[in-house]
Amino acid sequence: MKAIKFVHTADWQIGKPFGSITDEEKRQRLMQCRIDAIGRLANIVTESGSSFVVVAGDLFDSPTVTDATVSATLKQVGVLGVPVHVIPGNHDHGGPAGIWARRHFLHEQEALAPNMHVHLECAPVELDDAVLLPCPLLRRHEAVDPTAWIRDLDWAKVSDKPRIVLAHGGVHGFTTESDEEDTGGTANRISLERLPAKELDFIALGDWHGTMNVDSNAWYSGALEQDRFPKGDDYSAGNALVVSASRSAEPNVTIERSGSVRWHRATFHFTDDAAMPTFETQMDELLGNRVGEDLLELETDGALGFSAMEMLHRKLDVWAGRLIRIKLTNRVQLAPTDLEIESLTHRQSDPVISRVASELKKRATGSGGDAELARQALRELYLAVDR
Amino acid sequence: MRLSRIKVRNYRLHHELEVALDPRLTVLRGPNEGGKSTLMEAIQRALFMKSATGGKLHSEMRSANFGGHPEVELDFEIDGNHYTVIKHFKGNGGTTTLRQHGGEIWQDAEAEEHLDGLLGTDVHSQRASKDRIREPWAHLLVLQGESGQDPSKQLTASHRADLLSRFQESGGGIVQQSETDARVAEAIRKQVRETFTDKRRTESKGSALAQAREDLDRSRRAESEAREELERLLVAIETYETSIADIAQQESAITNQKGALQTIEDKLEQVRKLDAAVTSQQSALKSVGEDHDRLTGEEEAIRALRTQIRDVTDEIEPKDSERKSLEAKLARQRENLGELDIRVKSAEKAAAKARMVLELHRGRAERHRLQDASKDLSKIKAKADRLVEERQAARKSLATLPEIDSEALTALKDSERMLRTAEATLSAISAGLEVSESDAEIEIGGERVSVGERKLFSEPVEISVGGSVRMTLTPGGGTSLKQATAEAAEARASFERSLQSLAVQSVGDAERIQADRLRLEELVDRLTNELDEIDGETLGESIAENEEQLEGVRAIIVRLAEQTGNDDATADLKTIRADMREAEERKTEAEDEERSLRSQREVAVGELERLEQQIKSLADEVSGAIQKRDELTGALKMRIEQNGDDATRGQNMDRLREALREEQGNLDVLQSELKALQPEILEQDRTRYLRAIEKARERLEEARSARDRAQGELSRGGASNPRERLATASAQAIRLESEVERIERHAHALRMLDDLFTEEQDRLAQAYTAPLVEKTSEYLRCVFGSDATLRVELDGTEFRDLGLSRELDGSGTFDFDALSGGTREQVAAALRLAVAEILAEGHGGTLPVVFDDAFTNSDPERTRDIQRMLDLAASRGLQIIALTCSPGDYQDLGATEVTVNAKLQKPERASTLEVRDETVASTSDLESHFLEVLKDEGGRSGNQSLREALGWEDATYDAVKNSLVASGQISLGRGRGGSVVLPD
Repeated sequence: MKAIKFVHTADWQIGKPFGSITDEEKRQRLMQCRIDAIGRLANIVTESGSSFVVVAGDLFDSPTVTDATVSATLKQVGVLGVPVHVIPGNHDHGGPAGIWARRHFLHEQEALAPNMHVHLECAPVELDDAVLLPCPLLRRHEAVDPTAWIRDLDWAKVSDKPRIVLAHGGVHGFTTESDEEDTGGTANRISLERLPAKELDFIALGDWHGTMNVDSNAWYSGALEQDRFPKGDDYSAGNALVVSASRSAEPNVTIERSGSVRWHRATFHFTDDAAMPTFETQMDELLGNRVGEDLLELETDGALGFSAMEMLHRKLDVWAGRLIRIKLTNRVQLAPTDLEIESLTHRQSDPVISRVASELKKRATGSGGDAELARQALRELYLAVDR
Repeated sequence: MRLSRIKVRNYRLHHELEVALDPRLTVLRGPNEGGKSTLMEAIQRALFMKSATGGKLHSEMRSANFGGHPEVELDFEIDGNHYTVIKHFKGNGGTTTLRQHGGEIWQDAEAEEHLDGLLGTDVHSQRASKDRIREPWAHLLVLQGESGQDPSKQLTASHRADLLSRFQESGGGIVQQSETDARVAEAIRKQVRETFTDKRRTESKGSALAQAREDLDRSRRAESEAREELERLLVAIETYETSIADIAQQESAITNQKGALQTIEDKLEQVRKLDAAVTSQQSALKSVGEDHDRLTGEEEAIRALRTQIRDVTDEIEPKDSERKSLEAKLARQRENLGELDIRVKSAEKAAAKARMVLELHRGRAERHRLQDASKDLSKIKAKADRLVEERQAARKSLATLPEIDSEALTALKDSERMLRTAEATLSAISAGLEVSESDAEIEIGGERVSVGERKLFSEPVEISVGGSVRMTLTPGGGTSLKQATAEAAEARASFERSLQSLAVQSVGDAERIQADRLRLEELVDRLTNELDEIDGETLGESIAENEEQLEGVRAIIVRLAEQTGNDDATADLKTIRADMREAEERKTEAEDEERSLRSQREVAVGELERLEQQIKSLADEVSGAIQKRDELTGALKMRIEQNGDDATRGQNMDRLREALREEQGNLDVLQSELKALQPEILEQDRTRYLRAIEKARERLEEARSARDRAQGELSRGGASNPRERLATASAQAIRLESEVERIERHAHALRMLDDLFTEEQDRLAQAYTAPLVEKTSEYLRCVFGSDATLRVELDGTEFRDLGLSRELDGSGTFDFDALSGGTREQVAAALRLAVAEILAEGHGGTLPVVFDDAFTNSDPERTRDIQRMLDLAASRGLQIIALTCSPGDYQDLGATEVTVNAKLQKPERASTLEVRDETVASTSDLESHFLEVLKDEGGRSGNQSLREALGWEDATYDAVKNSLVASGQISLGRGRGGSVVLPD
């Protein structure tokens, strides 16, 4: 039996706004990166010799993306050259008011991407060398398993070519992951175990943004371009899968890098001011001297003195400029050193400052809001005296 | 520093005045406008005003009344050294002389510089101004009307610095903030002020925090707008999709409902058919029922007829037999009646015979009477015949005489008398004519009358004499002669006729005949009367009638006697009458017998008739019953003919009963089928489905229009992504929120710092102000009692929160501004004295303090306390000078009193013109003053403002200006109203 080769991808989410990036230029760049990723996908298709591409849902981020975004995307899809088979996902579900019914889309599909095929029906689609079993989401939240229709197929009537399921949704253990989703736990749930495994050769899944092999022949390709900070160490996104499948055989899957933007997650604990150099080294290793390519989610805690805290803020300001975004959760407490405190409280020549500092020192003990305020006031005093 | 003597000359209203001042307490008294305050001003100017001062300051000092420039001479003492300063104010050419008693003399600038040195001021090197003159001793000289003001506000920076340094000296070890302290505090304060308002509690506009808040608000608005837009779009999407689903659902519902409705309609059709079938079945049943009822009715009628026939038949028999028995009874009754008839006839015969006998006897009696009458009548007949003969003779005699009665005799007599009368009259009235002589023919009445002839005329006659005379002669005046003639003839005739008719010859004959006739007529009448008495006229008839009756009675007796045979014609009347009585009895008995039998017969006849009636009635009844029976039998026969005989009818009845059961069964089946269809529910269902379809159609329309609306909304999208806008707006809002929070934290930290700095500085200030508070309170206690203390805060170098505290009476602390006018004067005085006392240390241990009518608002009862306060001040080394227009207020002070009243010094009032002249005379002075002031204005000034600064009239200003322009000392500049410029 002849094996076919195709590319499995999903969750392009073109038009995702990344509103949390307040720098408009950076935000636009990040959005553009996602369209550019289609160009890199073209390379993968060409290099792998794949005969078509399947997109397992969420090609667009929402039904409300602009016409300009639609045009730019379809232009790139047209460049792919091979047939591109798409099913709607929960973000771009196939309702009558959905993106796929938009006049502009239909026009641009015909004009720019005639190789693009949007499958809105649950019925086998026989290609030259394979059979597609598309499971489109026609609503944002499907209460029934979108693959349910496959269970009852009369297989005798289905061609004996390699059978590829296209579906979008959560499977057991990997329910929908997006932190901005508001789906109920049971919407768009796919029960792989209820599918006739012997009859199917590859299940191309979308929705989970990290690349993931969930079953012998079932894969989440992960997002084409990473769009969020990694959830764990083994989280890998920004990939496309080159799949070699044949009827009644294990598919051969290769993970290819398609993304360009780096999303980092880091934590650091400041034991004291002395930890500052270590922190700097680690960050330098992580971020290098790159500009405009990285996003960082940083969590810091521990405690720093006035000077070290000042140094940390200056460092963060630098990264804020370089990185596309730094998402900071700074729990580092202001903990002036004894020396710093004494430099304020032991001023023989400045009686008012020493008395004020002593009072603040008294108030700064403890952990309440007033103590925090007192610490901050101490810091301000420290900086004012130092100036 | 202590003032000893003041002398003024040509100063305002003072021509010349010298006052010696007590080193401790002086009271200058005098009326208002007496020049007391002017004296104080003179002291200030002697000490603090550059003598070479022109302009208004100079001109206002000049007396309006006296010539010459003002001059002030002042003696004072510092640290045991006595000085005299003399200032001669001559505009810019003013001079100053300072002389230390028993020592040096300084002139003008040097003198003034030295004076500054002595007084610790720096006023003479600068251009004089009112403020600059007043400032150095503003705290020591209490001017009229200012005594109630907060004196701490009148302290200049230099006074305060002086005070603070005194505090520090007096406070010993008290620390002072360092420069760094002040710098840091100020830097922090500055930052706080940038964020918060002066009160430091509200955020000031334009601060970074406020700006951030505004940004945040804006961003939240943008976020909310974006959210609304997105929601609108999502709603449109949702609406579009749900309405499409809804359309499908409603369409399918309508199809289903129509199907259901059709089913119901079919069933309803069935119901209608069943209804019709039931109706027709009911009518069939009814028809059979009617047949059945009719036949039942017939049956009953036949049964009734039979009963009736039987009853009628039963009725006939007894009645017929009763009739027969009655008929037998009738026959017997007829027999009885025949017997009675016979007996009646025989009784009748007996009675008739008795009556004949009676008649016979009555005839016999009658005959007897008639025979007697006949004998009487024959006797009367003989008498009557003789009377008739006598009367016939009389009547014969009479008949021979003429029938003259008395009336005829009278009439004859009347006729005779009338004849005599008429004849007398005629002879009385006739005329006679006799012709005695005539030669003419005379005619009378046409008859020729000859002479001697006589004519009598009883009537008118024409007489003609000749042919020419004619006349008429009328006798007796009329015609009566003729009438009388006729009447006389008549009367005679009448008398003749009467004699003839009476057949007499004369009246005497007539009278004798008449007498004969009377006598005969009387005889006839008498004879007639006698006849009448014996009915002589009719006697013949009576005899005939009696004979006739006798004849009739004799005939009856003969006939009766033949039948009875019993006539005894000889029997006398007595016997006859006895026979008659006996016959009478026999007749009565026979008639009674007859009457009784007739009555019996009538009864028998009645009975017979009654029987006949009964028999007839029974016969009628029987025949009626028979007729009825025949009718009933006929009717029965007819019904049987119509409905058949009993057997046939029985079969028919059975058949109808069977049919009835069958039809009822059919009806029951139909009705139960109908009931099974539940028509009322069907109708309800039909209504429900119609309604449901209607509603579904409405919903369908709604869904379609919702779809169209949503489609319209959706077709507008595509140009921008609302989701993106919302995401960025939300993120922006979150960022700004944390920014606001950060700035807020920072600002609060700074404010905490600022608060602490202020607190700390206040604490230090408090330590400084302690001496001032203590000293002032000592003065206050003179007035307000032992619990009075001053409250004052030192804010940096400035005093604030001045107030009076009364601990004992519990009334607390009052802000200065809240105190009454009098109390303010007293508190202000206490503070001034304390300040003066503290500052005096830098001025040789004493300073003068002047109160110019400074307690005008204080109660009179306070004056004693105020004097105590002033005395305390004096005892502590201060020189107290009080100016008053009511010296009684200071009666108990024990002060040196001096009267100041310029009005008493005034010589003659000089004319205004003279003053002007003097002013104008000194042109060079004016020019140098002009230049001086212009220089002070910066070498350039508008004409208007410069003229005002100089206090000149337009003419003066213009003259001086023109002179200076001409000499090239100034040039003209531009500007509104022109300007003047000093050359470079």
